[in-house]
Amino acid sequence: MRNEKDKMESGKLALKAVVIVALVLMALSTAVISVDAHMPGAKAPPAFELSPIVILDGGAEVEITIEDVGNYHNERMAEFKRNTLKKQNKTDEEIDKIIEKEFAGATGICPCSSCAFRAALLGISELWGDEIPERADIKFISRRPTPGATQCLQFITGTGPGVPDVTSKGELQMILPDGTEVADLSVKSLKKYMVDMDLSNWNFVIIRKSTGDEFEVQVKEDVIPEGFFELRKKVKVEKTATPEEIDEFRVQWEAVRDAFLTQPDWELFEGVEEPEEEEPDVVGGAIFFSILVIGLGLLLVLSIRGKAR
Amino acid sequence: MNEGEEKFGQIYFAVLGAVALAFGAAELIASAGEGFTWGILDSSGGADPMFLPWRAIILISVGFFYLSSVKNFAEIHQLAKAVMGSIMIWIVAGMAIWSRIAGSIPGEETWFNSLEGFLASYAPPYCPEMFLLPFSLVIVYYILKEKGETEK
Amino acid sequence: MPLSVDERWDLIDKISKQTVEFGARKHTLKDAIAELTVKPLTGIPVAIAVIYGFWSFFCDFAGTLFTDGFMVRLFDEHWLPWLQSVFPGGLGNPFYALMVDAGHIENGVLTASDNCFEAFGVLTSGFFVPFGVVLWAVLAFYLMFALLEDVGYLPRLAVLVDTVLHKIGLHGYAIVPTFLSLGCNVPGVTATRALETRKQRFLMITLLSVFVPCGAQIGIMQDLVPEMMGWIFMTLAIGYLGFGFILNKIVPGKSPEIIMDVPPYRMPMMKNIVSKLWIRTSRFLLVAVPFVLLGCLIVGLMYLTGAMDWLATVLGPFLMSWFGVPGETVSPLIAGFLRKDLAVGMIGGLMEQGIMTTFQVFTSVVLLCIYFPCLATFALMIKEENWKEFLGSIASLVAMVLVYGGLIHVVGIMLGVA
Repeated sequence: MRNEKDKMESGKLALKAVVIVALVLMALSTAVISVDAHMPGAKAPPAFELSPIVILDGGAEVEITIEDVGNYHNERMAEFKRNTLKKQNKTDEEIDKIIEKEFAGATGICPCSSCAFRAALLGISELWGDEIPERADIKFISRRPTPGATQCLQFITGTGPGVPDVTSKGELQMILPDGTEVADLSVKSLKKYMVDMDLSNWNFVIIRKSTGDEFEVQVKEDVIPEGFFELRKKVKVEKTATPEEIDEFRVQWEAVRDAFLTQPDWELFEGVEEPEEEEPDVVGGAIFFSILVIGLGLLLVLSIRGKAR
Repeated sequence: MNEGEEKFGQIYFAVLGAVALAFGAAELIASAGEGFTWGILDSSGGADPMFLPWRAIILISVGFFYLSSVKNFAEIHQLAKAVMGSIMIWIVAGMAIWSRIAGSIPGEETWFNSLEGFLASYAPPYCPEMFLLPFSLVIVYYILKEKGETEK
Repeated sequence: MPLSVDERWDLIDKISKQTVEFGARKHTLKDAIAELTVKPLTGIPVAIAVIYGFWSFFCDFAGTLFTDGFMVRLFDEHWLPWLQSVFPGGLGNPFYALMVDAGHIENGVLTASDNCFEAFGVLTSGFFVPFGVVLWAVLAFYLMFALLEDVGYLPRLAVLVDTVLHKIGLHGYAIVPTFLSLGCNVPGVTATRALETRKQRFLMITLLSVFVPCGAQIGIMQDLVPEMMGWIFMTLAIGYLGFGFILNKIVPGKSPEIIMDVPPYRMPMMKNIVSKLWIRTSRFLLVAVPFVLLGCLIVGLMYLTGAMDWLATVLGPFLMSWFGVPGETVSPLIAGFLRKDLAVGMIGGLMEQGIMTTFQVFTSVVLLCIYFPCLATFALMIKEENWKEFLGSIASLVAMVLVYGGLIHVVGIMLGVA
């Protein structure tokens, strides 16, 4: 009994301590966290759940997440920026500061890299099913001459510069919708082809080399907001956009990226069927439930009769 | 109990014991993997893989209880073995039913399940113990018979 | 002249032969069943089925129905978003972080939590843990325990485990404090008063406080890591028996036999069950809730002041090298001193952020179970034991944690999962 009383007393004391400390604490400062991303001023991606791409490289299983792809894309773009700034005769210190500022909080997850990642994920699951593909057996044909998409596919195939721990390599080919084959996949070279892009550039072909099977992934028209391509040209290429147009593009850019991170395949890509929802077996359940209710009822009746006797 | 009832009990619980033993062995083998589902029979552990081998061991024990009760079935201690076997099935099957009840009440998007969802929660497949449940209830006849004879 | 023991028994025999009529007693079905549940060959399978029923009911009542079915929705979809919208300060503000949501870093950005486990505020996790998870777990546990008690099964379980517990210097009766501790360690430790010798009490208190997780902890573990429960309990059971055996050899003193009354089976009375349930659950909550709130507050303050980071830096290398767990485990270990259910909840938060591997989560949860009793149990141990026994318990505890925790790490390395 004394024991129980002591327990309750110590509990009440703890509660008092909580209340007093909580009342005494003052709200001090507000912390302002700035979010910078691939697109200057763009918000961080929403919460999403994307499974990693799993491949075999030299017998070892390799898991590639979209975060890995994003980091690789960031590294390559930082390297490109560094080389550009060096040519402008900036000092190393100045370069480090600029790069740190520009890439602070950047995830490297942009519409292009996320689209390419989703396309690869879908293509691999269609061509290999539950099997894990060998890296060397994977080939991508990309119609999208942007660093984000290209570096994503380079990372998966192991063909990009600085991709770590690569034992075997897949293949990546860039063939534009008009048939032009782009051999040089460096950022500098790709910038020439990024000028005029449309929906036909949101297209990838995934090939299983050993069997020759192919799967084409084409993004649906309604994933890309209206006016996206024109705005993009103004903002990124011609640099003639007004502040309002820049804001509008930023919003559209975020929407496209978020779509590729969160929406299901059948909403993003042409030719993917919405999976059929399994009809719940209501009749079977109702039959069992009725038997259960009758059985419990009988049990109750029998036990009442037994007690009455 | 009379000779006919004893004979019936011996045969009935011998068969039931063999079936329980077979189911238990199948569940034990299935527990090495991820369980199996065959038509309306389901032998998987659900959220907790520990449950499948556990159930399998219980079902194998039930089989042994029934089979060992067959000799001299009318004797009180032998009958008690058959009763315990049935009680063990009632525990496992009862918990399987409770699990369905617990899962059928809350909804996925709403607080409470819709009527359709509620009823669909009771749909097959079912674990082997739920199939054995109605057959194990035959022991109630023998319990009541024994109770009547004791009261005399 | 007083009679010797033998003479006394002879006299008893003579008197009883003259006064007692012996006849054949016909066993009823109830007697036969009672015998079956006590003999090891038949009793053990029955015990396995009963414990299956106990555990299955517990998981579905606490986990499936109440916590996952209603409480998670209530707290994560209504309580947390409402607090996040009305509480002054906003994400990043220290007071807000302490009371509502500390947030977490995602892709380099401080992001709001979307569930009460991650939020770790006094008003969020502080209420979710006791009312959203623990209350239902404890209710389910005490309901089943009361049923088994009143039906008359517990003494039979004690008889069955008597042989096994003898090996570690205890007796079948020790199953009662062990079972009670599965609800809450405090009544479990209190129940050791029925043990006769100081050695038995010391053994029991030490083993209970180290290897028997309480209902609150079990509830949270079941919610977060249901697939690991079997492995966790197996690890704890091995530790309980193994270290019990060692302690029995090194602790001086006797372990005499206990005579227990094994009552007949009877139908439980609803009134008794409800009364026991009410008393045990309400007392548990009255003690638990303040400690959970205090735990959230203290851990939150330690995070804000940087004390937690400092501790993680200092202890991190040791934790990683000896136990194979990351420095982030320091904060749950500190919280675990106040409330273990809260600490397991913190590990859940770390798990969701992908900071720990599966094996690290397993090791952390086991470490939390064994490393220190919660403050309430600790306080009771000080009361129940003298200072030598208390220091002995603490020393045994430290040794067990280091040895057993290290052993788990070694096994993990050998299996290639650590």
